[in-house]
Amino acid sequence: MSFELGAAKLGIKEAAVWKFDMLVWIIISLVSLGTYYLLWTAVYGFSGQGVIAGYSLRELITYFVLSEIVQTLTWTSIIMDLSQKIRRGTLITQLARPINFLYYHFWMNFGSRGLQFLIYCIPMVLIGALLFGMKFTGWTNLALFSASAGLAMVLNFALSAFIALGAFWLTSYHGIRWAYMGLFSIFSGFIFPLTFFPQFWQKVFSFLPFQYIIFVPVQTYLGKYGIFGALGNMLIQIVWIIILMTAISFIWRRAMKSFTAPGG
Amino acid sequence: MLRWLRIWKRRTAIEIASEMAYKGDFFLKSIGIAVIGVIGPLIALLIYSNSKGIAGWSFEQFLLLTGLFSLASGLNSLFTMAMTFRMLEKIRDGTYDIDLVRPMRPLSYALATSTDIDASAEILAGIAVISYALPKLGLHLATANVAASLLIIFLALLFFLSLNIIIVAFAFLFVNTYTLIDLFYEVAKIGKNPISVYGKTGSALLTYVFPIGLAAFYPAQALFGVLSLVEVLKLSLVAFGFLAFAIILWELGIRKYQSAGG
Repeated sequence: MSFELGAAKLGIKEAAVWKFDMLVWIIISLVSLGTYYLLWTAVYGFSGQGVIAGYSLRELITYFVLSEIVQTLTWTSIIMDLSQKIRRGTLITQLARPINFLYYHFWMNFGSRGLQFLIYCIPMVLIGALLFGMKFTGWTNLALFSASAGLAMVLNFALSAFIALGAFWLTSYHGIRWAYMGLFSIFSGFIFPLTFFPQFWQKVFSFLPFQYIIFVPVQTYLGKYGIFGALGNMLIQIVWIIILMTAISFIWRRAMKSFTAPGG
Repeated sequence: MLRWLRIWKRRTAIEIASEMAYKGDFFLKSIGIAVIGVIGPLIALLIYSNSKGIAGWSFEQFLLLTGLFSLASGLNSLFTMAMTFRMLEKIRDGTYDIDLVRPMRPLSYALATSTDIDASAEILAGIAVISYALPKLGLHLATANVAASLLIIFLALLFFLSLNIIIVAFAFLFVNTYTLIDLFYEVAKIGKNPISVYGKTGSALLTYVFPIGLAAFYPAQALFGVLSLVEVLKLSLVAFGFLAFAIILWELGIRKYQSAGG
C-alpha cells in the first residue's frame, strides 16, 4: 500500500503546483453555471413547463453542477501522457522501472484528482446551492453518488488508457484525444442529460461505457434510480472496468512485442 | 503587405505539409473538431425537441446562431489562435529572440505564421449548419444585410485576434499565461446563445465590454435585417477599439520581454 500512497502523494504535490489554474477554472465554471441558469430559466419560463425531459429547473441546475464536479473527479491526462511518451520514446525509461506504468499513473491521478476535487467541489456546491437553488436529495443518494462517482473515476481511467493504447500504432496523439473528447462530451451526458435524446439514442448510449462516467452518477444523486437501480448500475460499472482492464492487458502485451523507442 | 502575404502563403504550405505527414491523425482530429463543432446545433435541437425553446427565437434561428458561432470560432482557429500557442511556447523556451531579429514587425510576423488548418472541420461544420438553417428561415437576404453580417463576422475575428494578442502581451510579462486562454475562450462560449437571454446588463456587457456578441448574435441580427447602419458602425468602433487596446498592451509587454535562456 505504501507504493500506492507514495504515487498518490506525488499526484497531490503535482496538482498543488496548479492552484492558480484551479482558481481560474472555478471562475470559468461559475460563469458557465450563471449562463446555464439564465438560458434554462428563459427556456422553462417561455415553455411554461414545470418539467422538461424529466427534469425540473432545480434538478437541471443540480445536474450541471454535479456533472462539472464528476468531470473534475474523473478527468485524466493518460491519453496525452502515454501517447506523448510513446511518440518521444521516453516510455522506455518508464518500462525499465520495476512498476506497472498504468498502475502507477492511476494512483498519481487518484492523488491529483482528489485534491482538485476538494478545491473545486466546495465553492461550486456552495454557490450552486446558495445562488442557483441546487438541490440536496438526501444522505442515501449522496452516499450512492459518492460510490458511483468513485467507480466512474476508475472507469474513465480504464477507458482513457484503452483509447490511449491506439497511440502505439498511430504514433501521433492529437487526433485520438480530439475525437475522444468530442464523443465523450456528448455520450457521457456531460453537455446534456441523456434523457433529452430520443429513446433510440438513449438505448444506444446504454450499451456504451460513457454514460456510466457522468450521467449515471449524477442521476444517482438525483434519486432517479432508487437504491437497487443504483446498485445495479454500479455492478455494470464494475463489469465495464473488468472488460476494459482485460482488453488493456491483452493489447499492452501485444504492443510491447512490437514497440520500438526511437531515441528513447 | 505583399511580403507579408508571401510569408503567410509559405507558412501555410508548411503547415499543410506538416499536418499531412500524419494523415490518420489529421483525419481523427478533424472528426473530433467537427463533433465539438456540432455540439451547439445539437443543444439547439435537444432544447427545441423537448420544449418551446426561447422567446423570440425559433429553432432555425437558434440553429443559425450556433452555425455562425462555429464559423467565427473556426476562422479564429484557422487564422489567429495558433499564434498564441506558438508564441507562448517560444517565450517560455526563450526562443522568441530569433523572431525579434527578423526584418518584420514582431506582431505582423506572428500573424503571418499563425495558420492552423485543423480548424477547417469547425468552419465546415458551421457552414453546413448555416446552409441548412438559412433556407428554412425563408429570409429575404438583401445584399446589404449579408454584407453587414460578413462585416460583423470579420469584426468578431478582430475581437478574437485582440484576445490572442492580450494573452501574448501578458506572456511577455508573466511567461506562463495558458490559463488566460482557458479563461477567455471558455467565457467566450457564452456567445453561442442569444445574448438577449442574459438581460439588458448582460447584453450590454457582451456587446461593449467583452463583445462576444459579435461572433453570432449580431451577424444573425444583421441577416434578420433588424440591425441599423448606426449599430453596425458602433460595433465596428467597439471591435477596432478593442484591437487598439490589445496592440497597446502588446507594445508595452514586448518592451518587458526578457529571454529566458535562448
